[in-house]
Amino acid sequence: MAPAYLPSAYTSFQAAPPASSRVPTRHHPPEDWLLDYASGLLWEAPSLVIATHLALCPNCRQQVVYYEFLGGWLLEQENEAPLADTTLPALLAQIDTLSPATPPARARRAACMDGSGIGASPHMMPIREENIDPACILPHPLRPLVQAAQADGRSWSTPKNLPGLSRLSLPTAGPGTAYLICLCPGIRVPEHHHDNGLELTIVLAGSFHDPRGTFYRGDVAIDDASLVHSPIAGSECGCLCLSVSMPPSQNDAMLFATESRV
Amino acid sequence: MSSPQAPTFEDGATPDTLLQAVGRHQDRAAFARLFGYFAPRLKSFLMRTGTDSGTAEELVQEVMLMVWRRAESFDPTHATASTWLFTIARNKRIDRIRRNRHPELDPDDPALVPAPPDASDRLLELAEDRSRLERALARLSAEQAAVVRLAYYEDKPQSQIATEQGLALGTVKSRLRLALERLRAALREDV
Repeated sequence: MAPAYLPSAYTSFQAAPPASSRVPTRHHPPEDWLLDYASGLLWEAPSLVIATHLALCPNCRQQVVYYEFLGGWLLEQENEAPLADTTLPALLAQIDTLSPATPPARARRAACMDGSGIGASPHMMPIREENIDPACILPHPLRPLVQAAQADGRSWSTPKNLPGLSRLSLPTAGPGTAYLICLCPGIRVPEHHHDNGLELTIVLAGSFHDPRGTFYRGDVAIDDASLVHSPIAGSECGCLCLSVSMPPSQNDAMLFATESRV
Repeated sequence: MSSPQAPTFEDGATPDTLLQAVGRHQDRAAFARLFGYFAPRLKSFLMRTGTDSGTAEELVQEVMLMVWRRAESFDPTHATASTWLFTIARNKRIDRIRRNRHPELDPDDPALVPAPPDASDRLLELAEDRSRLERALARLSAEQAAVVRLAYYEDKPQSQIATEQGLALGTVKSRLRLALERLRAALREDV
């Protein structure tokens, strides 16, 4: 039974393949962008692609853990900027009014869903067999975002000129558009390029191929103005992927949320 | 287990032990000490990108409030207190100042692909060898150290740094990559 948040075309997909046959990720995001994700410089849409890749790639996740550790170390080295004397007493007074803390597991989930986060990326959590949901194609944070989009009234749509493609728009802060895209087996996306913008795509199920090779679950493709491409979905299962388009700019500047731009 | 250079208070407490005391026992005295250590540093960190003093103080309060509420979930085998606070401050800043969101992973996510069983817990090693990191940072060239700080604090993409400093983008990227490579290599060396 397909999860409610995926379109009917989903039934042609395999669930996440068993570990023994899993193809190791070969197409990773640039390491620069891992640092930019860790330091908080990326807008939400490209961050979503990075975070989804991190859920599926322990090596890149370890890199981000390292960059966050470096961030913490730099915080320790900071100068001390004085605060008003009333700050701590006011804070303690606020704490006194709080209701008892929610249990840790629920607090973690709540923290993840409101995006405020709780700390360094986990990288060593063991997966227990009974936790694996074969229908669980979408890693966190993508899954709650897709469910929120649908609860918000967004729905899968198919362009008239491309009956083999369905897509669902996802709400993200800042510039850029994010879509979950479902391609039927063997469908070729019409030839297109991206002007001066960027397109980031991560495969969630199935595969697609283009002149650079074949992209499987967890693989990230980054397409810029230099590439005119026409990707083809895998012939057995089609392809489910997250695709983000960032508008044209100089030197990828639109990827980055800096204070001067807000 | 911390190296001598780790922030340690007179009675031997460290940010990690203080944070654990807050998480397990709602220890207000420990929280006040954490505040004393981190709040001024958080404020300075938040002001580096042009945030005014008043807004920075508000954010510091919000960060420390979240520290109090989430302290139970702090696991010292997965992160140091500073790393944990850094990510909270980063996400608060993203949310409040940039009206942006930072997608986070969920440690309980069944879709999370685990690290191979033979991978060592690098983070735990790092936390136990701060002195190595300090020496490694001291060994960076002035240009490399400046680029590392810029990447975290000046809030500019590397392309903008390149433009402002009259450098080719490739130069900035390679300086940063080299600096981070040297740090990682230095951390792997035996003392």
